[in-house]
Amino acid sequence: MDWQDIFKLLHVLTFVYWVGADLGVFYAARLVVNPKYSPETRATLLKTLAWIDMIPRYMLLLTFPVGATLAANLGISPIDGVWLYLVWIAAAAWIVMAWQIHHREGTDAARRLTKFDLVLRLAFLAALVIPAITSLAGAGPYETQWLPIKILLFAGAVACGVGIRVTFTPFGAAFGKLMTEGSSPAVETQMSRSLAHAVPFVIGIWVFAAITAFLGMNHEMLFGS
Amino acid sequence: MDPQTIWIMIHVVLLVYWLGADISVFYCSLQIIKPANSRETRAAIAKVLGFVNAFPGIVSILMLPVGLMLASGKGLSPITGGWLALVWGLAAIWLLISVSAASQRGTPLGKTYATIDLWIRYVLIAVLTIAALLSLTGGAPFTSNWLALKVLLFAFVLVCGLGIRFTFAKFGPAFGRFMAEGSTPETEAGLRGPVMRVKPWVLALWSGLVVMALLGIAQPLL
Repeated sequence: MDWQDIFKLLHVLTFVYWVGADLGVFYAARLVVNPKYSPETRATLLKTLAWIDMIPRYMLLLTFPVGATLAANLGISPIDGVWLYLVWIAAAAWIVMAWQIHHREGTDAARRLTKFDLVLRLAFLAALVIPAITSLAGAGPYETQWLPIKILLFAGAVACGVGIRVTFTPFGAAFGKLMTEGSSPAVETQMSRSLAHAVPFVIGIWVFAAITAFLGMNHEMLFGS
Repeated sequence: MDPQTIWIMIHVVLLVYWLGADISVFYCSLQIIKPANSRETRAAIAKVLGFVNAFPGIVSILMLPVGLMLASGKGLSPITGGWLALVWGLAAIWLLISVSAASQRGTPLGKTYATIDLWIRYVLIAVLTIAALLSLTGGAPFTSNWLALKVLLFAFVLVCGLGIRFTFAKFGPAFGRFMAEGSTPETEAGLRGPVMRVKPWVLALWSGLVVMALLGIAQPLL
């Protein structure tokens, strides 16, 4: 047993808490849009949902530096040495930021950070996709075929997360109205529609995360490397 | 494609819906005992808890046959061929009994199912512990020590599950009383007690699963 095994365990646990915790979020969301419940109950359900939802968010940010460490130890990624430390520091800072956004929800600071987070995610997506494609084309920087494919699949999950954020924006506005003005058909429709829009992206994350995990567990058997 | 690739995936996905789902159960249980939350709110949270909690119950039963599939594929287990089919058959029956116990909860039939499920667990804990200890001391039936240790830890996890079941048994009636009588110091204490007492068992179960995952990943020569 060595450090690589510990990082493999962490990599599996990030997947476990990412996809597993999503189950509670998914079910609670269906209750939040149920107009039979009082606004107070729906607010608490949303709070519960938001708390549980932070776990997959942290895991998405944590799984990348863990994966990068595994790849560096295998000698198939150029993100090594000082660069790897930088990736870890950036991921830690991003996790703190995600926590702050959740913690300060409703404040101007949180809104500003949320916008910045979205820009970061788009930059992150570019940083994932471009080198993965050049690697598949044979120009590097990643060695092996499976690692760039895995990174592309992970990027798919990150993109779905952005999709959820965009499709779920009207939900927040409608929920705010529900809390101040009470239930109305317009508000209920907007919430249900927003949730329905987000569902394909949620399922997309699960599918991308599952294929990514499958590839990670079986790359030796599937690709021989 | 090697079928082992699929079984490894299923093995990990089962952990996802066991350990990963449990965190939602844990947080919901803390919301249920919060006196600031109304009856309606807590009933809604209980619904979330009940839905999510069904998953660990199912996947924990499937974990053993899937693990034995992997072990037999690696040549580490004597349970192969027809014996493996028998294990799958027994697991399917156990799953049916366990799911029925949950769906018929509160009825005499549900109670019978729950009792059978309990005895299956007692027998399984004994069988797994003996098989693991025999393997660790004598090299059979499981030839690898890491696998024998995993089997022993699975028995430990089952014990933790029973600990959870017994300490949490009072929660259902306490919740019923709370829903009927509302928030009083007595009903709040009735809810709080089982949730607090169940915590050490839950943490022990999670630790057991994490160590098992590490053993499965590292497969160390012990």
